[in-house]
Amino acid sequence: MSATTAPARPDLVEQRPSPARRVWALARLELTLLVRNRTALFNALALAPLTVLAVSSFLLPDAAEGRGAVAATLLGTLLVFALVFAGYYNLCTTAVARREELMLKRLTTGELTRGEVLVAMSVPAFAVILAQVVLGAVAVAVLVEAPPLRNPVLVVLALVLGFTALAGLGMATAIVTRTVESAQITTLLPLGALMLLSGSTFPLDLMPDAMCAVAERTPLAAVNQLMTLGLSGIAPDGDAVGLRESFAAGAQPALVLFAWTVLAAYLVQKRMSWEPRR
Amino acid sequence: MNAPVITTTGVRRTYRGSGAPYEAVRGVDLSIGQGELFALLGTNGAGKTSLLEVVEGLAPASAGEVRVFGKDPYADRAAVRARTGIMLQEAGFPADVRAGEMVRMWAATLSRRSDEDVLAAVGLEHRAGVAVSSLSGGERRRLDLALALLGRPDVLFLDEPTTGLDPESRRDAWSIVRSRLAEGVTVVLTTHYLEEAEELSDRLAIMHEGRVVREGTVADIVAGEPARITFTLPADAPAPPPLLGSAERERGVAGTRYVVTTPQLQEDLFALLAWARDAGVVLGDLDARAASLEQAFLSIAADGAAALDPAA
Repeated sequence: MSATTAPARPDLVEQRPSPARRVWALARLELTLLVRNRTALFNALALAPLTVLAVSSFLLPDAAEGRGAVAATLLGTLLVFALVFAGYYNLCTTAVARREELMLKRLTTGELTRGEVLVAMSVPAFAVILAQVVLGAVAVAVLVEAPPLRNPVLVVLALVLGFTALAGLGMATAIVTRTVESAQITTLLPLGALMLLSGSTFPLDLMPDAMCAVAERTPLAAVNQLMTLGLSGIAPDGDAVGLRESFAAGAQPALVLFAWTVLAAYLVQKRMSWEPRR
Repeated sequence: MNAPVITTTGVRRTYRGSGAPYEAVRGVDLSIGQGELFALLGTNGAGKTSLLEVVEGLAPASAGEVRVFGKDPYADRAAVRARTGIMLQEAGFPADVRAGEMVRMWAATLSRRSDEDVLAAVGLEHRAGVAVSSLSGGERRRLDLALALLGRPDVLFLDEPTTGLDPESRRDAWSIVRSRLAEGVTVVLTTHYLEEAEELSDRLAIMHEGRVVREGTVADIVAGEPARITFTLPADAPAPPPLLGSAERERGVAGTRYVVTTPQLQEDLFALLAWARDAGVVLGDLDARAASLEQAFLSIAADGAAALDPAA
């Protein structure tokens, strides 16, 4: 068979947009939808400072370690909560909603690749988490004390790798979630386990050794470890470390987050449905 | 037919779920030329959309080969997709998105950009700032069409494009499709409206149970179907001619209504008129017409099993 060529179209400009341009086109639309939803926007932006205000009110009176340590703990906890709710849960429900309203199916008919669609869909969640961390840091600085910053690279790694892993897990949970309403059920167990084993709600060193070893391999505990290293310079074993040692100590939690990201990406690529199940 | 831009050879598509595998497309061979409007018809569940999704590159074929512009539309997705526009039978929008925002987003992801105002082309320019949730079903369908037209594709896949449109909007959609055909665009259409296929298509295929059972022009498809002559005879009319022996009869107040199905319309009509003239009989409500696409379609739907049997 001979392939035919397109008829001459002098009015057409033909140049494939870069992946970044395609992603931004969809991400901008998702951001527009987020801004239009006032309730979601308020929850996304006001939750962080309010949480800091509430938690600091009962942490500060017992701040034996000093206000700097409290500030670091608050910021780490804030990131953990933001990753769980604005990352994991939010992206699970977004993926399910877009699938149920047949938007995902529509997007497969265009030039966006599936990976680009998922990245674009994650951009508003990442923007919200970033805003929460920044606003939370400001609130912590005003209400408690400016948090210490021993290794900014590890803090950024905690944010970026933590978001990637939790976003991926949120989308992987969408595989077994039929409706937005049922996301409240399907996310319940992973959400509870992630929070319990994160070290933010229950100290890991109070757990039995075997359980602690498991917890250290969960994504939110890894985020917590990276944040503690990056902000306070305290390693998981409780020792204070210098800048160089903090990179070495941060390698394991970073690898844990990378491994969870790979697992989530594999599940999403193999099992995620792009249209409602018949 | 012009040089083919789409070919399928022995294409099969099997769904494998928790139950037994279901083969929705069972070995389809098609060739669609540039600038042609090819309509794919069939009863519900005939396999049209399953086949179309494979040709569009939305799903891989379970067996066989598909080529669009000489490339595999699933494996060479990026190259093929830049030249195709797809209007799905069912696709949605986020409820809060506005029509104009959706068009701008879609346009920014495409390789081809033109100055054409697609919202104006589908008559939605005054609704650009309206949320999709406030558009009527027909308006949403027109927005679907607008997105498929963006980037001025060389091949348009339209899966039941006029479902839910009022007659005027349907005519407008046909007019848009015709204008694209005049520019050399190839259109693959599925529809439940047979008059739409009859009016627009250069060639068509009728699918039944996953296979193409008829393919050709409308004239080719209806050629094997009998024509129909209907008329009413008054109660006191003389005995009708022998050709009416096998006709269906229905007695009524005005007389007896005859329905004659015949493979030789001209000869039988001539004989009937000659008899009426000689007998001095007036043929009431006389109607004679060649077989329609609808007739051919219904006959295939009713007799699908026989149509699939090569020996039949």
